[in-house]
Amino acid sequence: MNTALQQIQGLLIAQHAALSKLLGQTTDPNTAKTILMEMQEVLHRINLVQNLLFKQASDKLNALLPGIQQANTALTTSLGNVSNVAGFLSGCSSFLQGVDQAIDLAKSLAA
Amino acid sequence: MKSFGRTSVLLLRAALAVVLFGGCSSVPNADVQTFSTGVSTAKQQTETAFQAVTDLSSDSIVDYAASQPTLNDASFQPVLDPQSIAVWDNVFSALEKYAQSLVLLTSPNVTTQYENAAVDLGGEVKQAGTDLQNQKLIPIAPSIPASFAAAFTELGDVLLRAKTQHDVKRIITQADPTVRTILTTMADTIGSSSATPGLRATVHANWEQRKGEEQVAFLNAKTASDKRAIAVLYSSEMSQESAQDLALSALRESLLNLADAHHDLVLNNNADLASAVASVEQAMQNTVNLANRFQSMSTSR
Repeated sequence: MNTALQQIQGLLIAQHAALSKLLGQTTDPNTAKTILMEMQEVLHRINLVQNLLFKQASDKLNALLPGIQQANTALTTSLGNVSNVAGFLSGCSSFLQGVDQAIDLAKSLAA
Repeated sequence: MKSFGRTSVLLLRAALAVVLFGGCSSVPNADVQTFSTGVSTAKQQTETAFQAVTDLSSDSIVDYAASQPTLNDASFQPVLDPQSIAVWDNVFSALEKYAQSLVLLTSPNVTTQYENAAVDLGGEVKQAGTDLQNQKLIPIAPSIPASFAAAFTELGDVLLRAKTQHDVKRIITQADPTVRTILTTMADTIGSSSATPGLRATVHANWEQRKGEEQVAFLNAKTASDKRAIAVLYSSEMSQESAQDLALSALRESLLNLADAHHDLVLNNNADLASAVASVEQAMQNTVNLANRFQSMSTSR
């Protein structure tokens, strides 16, 4: 992830925490309201930076997605190979069933 | 086992050699199922956590917009945008499919279809031979001893299993770095604490803001009962914050554990000998079962 953005977010979080601590120590309602407004401005920027960080992480995940899809395709192919062997045997079996029917028909015609 | 002929025993030995010396320890189906369940659980955890973050931050975003001199779109930037959330959903869906394919390939039943087809083929060979003999086209119907057919089928079964296990091992080894990067990227996004950059810290700041509203209201409250009501609200928000942080922390742990679990599937240190022995025992039992099926076929037709 973008280190510069993370550093900015770290600074904003520290700033917001410092203001929050100050608010907890303030007894004057007007001063408290001013601190809260300042916290809101900082929080807005924390949310904005978080949005950017989340988008970057998601872009990275999106770039990794084909790797998983390829692995899944390879697994599906392997599973298909097992079915192909069974399918081949079933095909032989069906062929012999056809032979049986042909012999039965020959028998009925000869009778 | 006593009724097996010499050829059958040789075929079984060949099967055992494939299992024991094939250089491919099996990937336990139970471990794969655990991984698969873990992926689905993490997906649900993530959806719940992201919805809670969106609900929480929506209030802060509206409060900020209301405090601005003008109203415009720029004030309503979401913390987690829907397009990015959709990417996470896609990645989890791909991981779920991947894990489900692993479960299928490592399943004890992966070769059932093959075994049934082999038994059916054996039956058809016998029937066709009998018909040809009855028509006097051949003097004697070909006869394949049940034990031989069973051992031969089991050899094919073991070879197929060895092939699928080899494929699984190769594919998960190749995919492991990608799986790890995906899961650690997700865990990093959540964040290691509420004081370091990440979603947990953002959530913490949003709760601090909400509690700050109560702190200001507390200072402006005129009566003791008003103050108490605000204190109750503040306490409730503290609990909600704690619960949400615990949920995010648990999600981060789940993601990291999943990365380790996948890597353990690749290493599979504990399964080599025990798993090979178990496979041999399973192969023996399966051969006996198959022999019985072939035997019953020869008596019923």
